[in-house]
Amino acid sequence: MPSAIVRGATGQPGSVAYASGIDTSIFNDLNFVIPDYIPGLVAKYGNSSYMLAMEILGNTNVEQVNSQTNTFSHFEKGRIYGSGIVSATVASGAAGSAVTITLKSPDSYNNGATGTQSPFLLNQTVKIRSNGVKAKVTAITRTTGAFTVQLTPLKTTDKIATGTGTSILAGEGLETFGNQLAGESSDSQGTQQQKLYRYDNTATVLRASVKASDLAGMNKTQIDFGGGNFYEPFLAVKAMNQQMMMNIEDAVMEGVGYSNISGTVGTVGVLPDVTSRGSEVDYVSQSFAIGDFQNLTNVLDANGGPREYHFLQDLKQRQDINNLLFGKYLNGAISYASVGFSEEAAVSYGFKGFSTDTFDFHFHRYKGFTAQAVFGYTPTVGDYRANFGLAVPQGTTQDAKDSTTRPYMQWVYQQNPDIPAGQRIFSWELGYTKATKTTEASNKYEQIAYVGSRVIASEQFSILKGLSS
Amino acid sequence: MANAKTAPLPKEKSGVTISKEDAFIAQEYDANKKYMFQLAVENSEREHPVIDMVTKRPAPHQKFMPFRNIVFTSQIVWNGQRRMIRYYDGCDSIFVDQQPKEKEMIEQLIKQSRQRVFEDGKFGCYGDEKQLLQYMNACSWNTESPFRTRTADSVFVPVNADKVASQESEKLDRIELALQYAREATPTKMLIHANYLGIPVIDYDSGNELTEKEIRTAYRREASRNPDSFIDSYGNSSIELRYYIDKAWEKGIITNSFNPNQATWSNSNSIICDISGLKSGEAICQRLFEFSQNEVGEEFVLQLKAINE
Repeated sequence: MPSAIVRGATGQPGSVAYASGIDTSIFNDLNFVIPDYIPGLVAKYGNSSYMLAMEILGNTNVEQVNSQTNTFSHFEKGRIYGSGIVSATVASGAAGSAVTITLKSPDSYNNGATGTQSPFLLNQTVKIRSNGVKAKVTAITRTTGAFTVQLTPLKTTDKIATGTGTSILAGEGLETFGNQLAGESSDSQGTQQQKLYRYDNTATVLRASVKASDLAGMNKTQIDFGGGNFYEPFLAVKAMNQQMMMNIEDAVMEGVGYSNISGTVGTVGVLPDVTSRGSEVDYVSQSFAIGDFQNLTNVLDANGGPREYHFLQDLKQRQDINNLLFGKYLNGAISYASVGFSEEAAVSYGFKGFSTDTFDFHFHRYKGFTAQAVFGYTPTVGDYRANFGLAVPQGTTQDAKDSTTRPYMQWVYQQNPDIPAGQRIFSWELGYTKATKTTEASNKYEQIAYVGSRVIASEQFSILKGLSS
Repeated sequence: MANAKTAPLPKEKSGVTISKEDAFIAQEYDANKKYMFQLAVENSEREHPVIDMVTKRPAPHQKFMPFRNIVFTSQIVWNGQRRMIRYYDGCDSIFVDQQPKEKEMIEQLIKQSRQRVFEDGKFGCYGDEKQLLQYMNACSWNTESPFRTRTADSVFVPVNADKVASQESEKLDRIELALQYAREATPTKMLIHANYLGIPVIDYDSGNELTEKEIRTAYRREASRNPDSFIDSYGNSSIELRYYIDKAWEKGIITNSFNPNQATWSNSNSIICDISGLKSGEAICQRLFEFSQNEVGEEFVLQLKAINE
């Protein structure tokens, strides 16, 4: 037999010659270097705080409640005092004469252009806004959309006129009071009642899923996804949890329309309610001024807002206001104890405040308004939430029907009787290694939430928006 | 700009056109007329209407938010350049570079300037408030301003009563035209068009075919409900052709029973076109329709129309 090199295990016939000696290139050949790595997973865009209004504002402004029905309601009542606007100019006549005016539609009617509900009653005392002259309603005809009201001045020297003129002008404001001159042996008066409204809303259904194949769930990685779990599905489930919380936040804040998608219901949303019934104060972005605060307080005062407001703001507006306040008040303007927190708690939560015109404002950064922070891109053709802030009244308000008190904003979770009470996001799993078996060799992780918005007295909210040129 | 009078412009020099900036400055306004503006964005209707507890019916939908202030500072594009404008009560110019620069003067102007707001989405000012009107018409917050910057937020639009009336009038004209077509269409054309519009020709409760009068009434109702779609589809000959194809297939005049891969005339088994791979009646009809649109399909179209006459 000719001589032959014995070949046994791989690697024969023997050692490898390195003519220039061993250097780091040997690691390419051997490929067994133990990597040195930090197993924990770092979030590139890590800070996800300031994403949830509930976390930012606390229980005095936002409440989570349960509902046993998909449609939930609340009731609100309108103003105590009523008013009307004169539709067409009418000559006053001599001092002390009665004048019949027509009430302008739709401003003077509680049901708008329908024009059948007005606060004016016979024998009422009415005040003319331009000059304070008081008059009595001596006759009233309720023609739909064109109520006529005869006004007789209380004093013989007064005229039913605008200012010091000889006519009562179209657009004049008439303010109603009760009967301030009932006289002797007076009889009962007509009835006034505040308008009552019912606001309905529904809970929308949010759903999320993660599916992991058997092999995906079996490959151990170098990365600790949390709690000593090195398997990728764990990360996917964590992501699903975070996304579900943000989805709920966006659904409740921005609303979910559904009129075009059959077989579903959504929810109205906080901001759509505020946009339609609240007010908006605009300013020039990057030029916020004290006068803009005053515009805001005028509106809040007119709408009966409480003393304290919390602003949820995008970063640009936050910066605008900081620049104004820190420019004016070099030591900063910081307000603590008014909201019941200690100085330490206020600092750790980032409370900053400013008081003006009997209102206290507290400013909070809200990431949900900023596309860059959430989605990582800068809109270039329009951003509806840039330079945007929502003024949320602090405190509680009283339900018109049952007088219970509740905060102005609620996240309403519809309760499933089969799901433990209080479990607002219900999660379950099924799969080939789970208690509920499937034929496919994979595991599924499911989540569902039923949630809607409730905004009470949205007239007391305000939007603060910086306009861009 | 809504209904503004224009003062006589300086005589044009030959070859020189009046710029929009000059025309804007020269514009005059009727002192006794109130020029109206309204917010650009309307509230979307609440999917759950607010219920008036007195009438137990939905309260009227509020088209606009109740209050929005007017911002009296803006950048505009003037003669191709950015320029700042600002409105103060009692100031002679809206251009910042022409306004007083002294701090005390500016403070005084700010103090004396009354706030203006959009109430329930509307704001109006009289023609004698020329500077205010100039500002409202020029500023970039006005969606229809000819000097608007590219990136400005859109806040309000001028209310042009004539424009609104014209739009309304055009809409009514379309309805009248659609109703005329609906009234004058021949029974055959009506049936074909009604089929396209999805108007039922059978009473679903009894299974009886509707009479021509019943179909005509539904047809006219559809014309008034959706005049644009009605008029656009009324003269479309493809709809007619597609109808004939569908009916011929339904009645078995065109069939694939002789050869599943070919559509043929049932009376002569002569081939119309290839339909290989198509199973459903709808797909086959769609292939026949596509065939009819080609030059080679002209004969087929003629034969189809002859059958239906």
